[in-house]
Amino acid sequence: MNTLPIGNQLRRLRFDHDEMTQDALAKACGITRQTIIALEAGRYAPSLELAFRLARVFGKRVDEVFFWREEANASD
Amino acid sequence: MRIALVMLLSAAVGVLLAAPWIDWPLHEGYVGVILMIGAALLLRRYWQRGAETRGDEPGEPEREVWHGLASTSLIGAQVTTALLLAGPGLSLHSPAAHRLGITAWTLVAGAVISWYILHRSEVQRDERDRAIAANADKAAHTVLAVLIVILAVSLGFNPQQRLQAMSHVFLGHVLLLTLIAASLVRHVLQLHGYRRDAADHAG
Repeated sequence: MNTLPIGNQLRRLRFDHDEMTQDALAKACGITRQTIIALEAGRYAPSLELAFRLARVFGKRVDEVFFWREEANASD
Repeated sequence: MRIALVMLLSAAVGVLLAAPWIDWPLHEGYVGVILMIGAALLLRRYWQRGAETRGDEPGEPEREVWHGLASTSLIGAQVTTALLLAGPGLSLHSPAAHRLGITAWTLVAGAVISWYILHRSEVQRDERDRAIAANADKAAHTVLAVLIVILAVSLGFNPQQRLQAMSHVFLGHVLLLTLIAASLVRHVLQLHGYRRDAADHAG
């Protein structure tokens, strides 16, 4: 059901970070838990600012959290 | 489907509140307020349970939109029915106009109280909520503009005798109904936006 070309590793990163809850991640970024759900489901593409905020929570670069789906498909 | 159901149920209550053939034990405005408060309390409990068990509860901004849809449908239907029953010659100082005004404003008070019941202190609106609201706003403004143009044209081309039969109170309420219609479009599109990107499961 994913329709957006931007994918992300949020779900995996949350689990790698002591199984961080969606609620905790949402609070850390100042957004709603429902937005985290939409992001993880690939149904919402964040703004650049939110992408940076999310990446900062995990101590990663933006391109380590978000990826372009065509690129990911090509490298597979 | 759920959006249409909430709209229709709320509108049905609005029509029943304005229906002159129903003899309510209380003033119909108070009946509406009691129903709104009851629905808000039930919904708050339902969403709270959803948050604890399924994790699929709507966020604060979406809750506000659901509340807006239900209360606007109810008040809109009540005003429309009362206006249709009173006819275009509705006079400001008539029992029908007084009843319409008192009921509508009591229902507005009920909407404020029920909003307060559903409202949580940690209101959080993020960029996704703003994007959904902005898309819905665009369509609502278009609908409002179209309705006003239709109204202006139909008033302009109406024969003199028919225009004279329409009171200021009636025309004022028709203008208010265009605002209510635009607001309903906004709420429906916002909820559609939330439905569209809601995930099938939460983690």
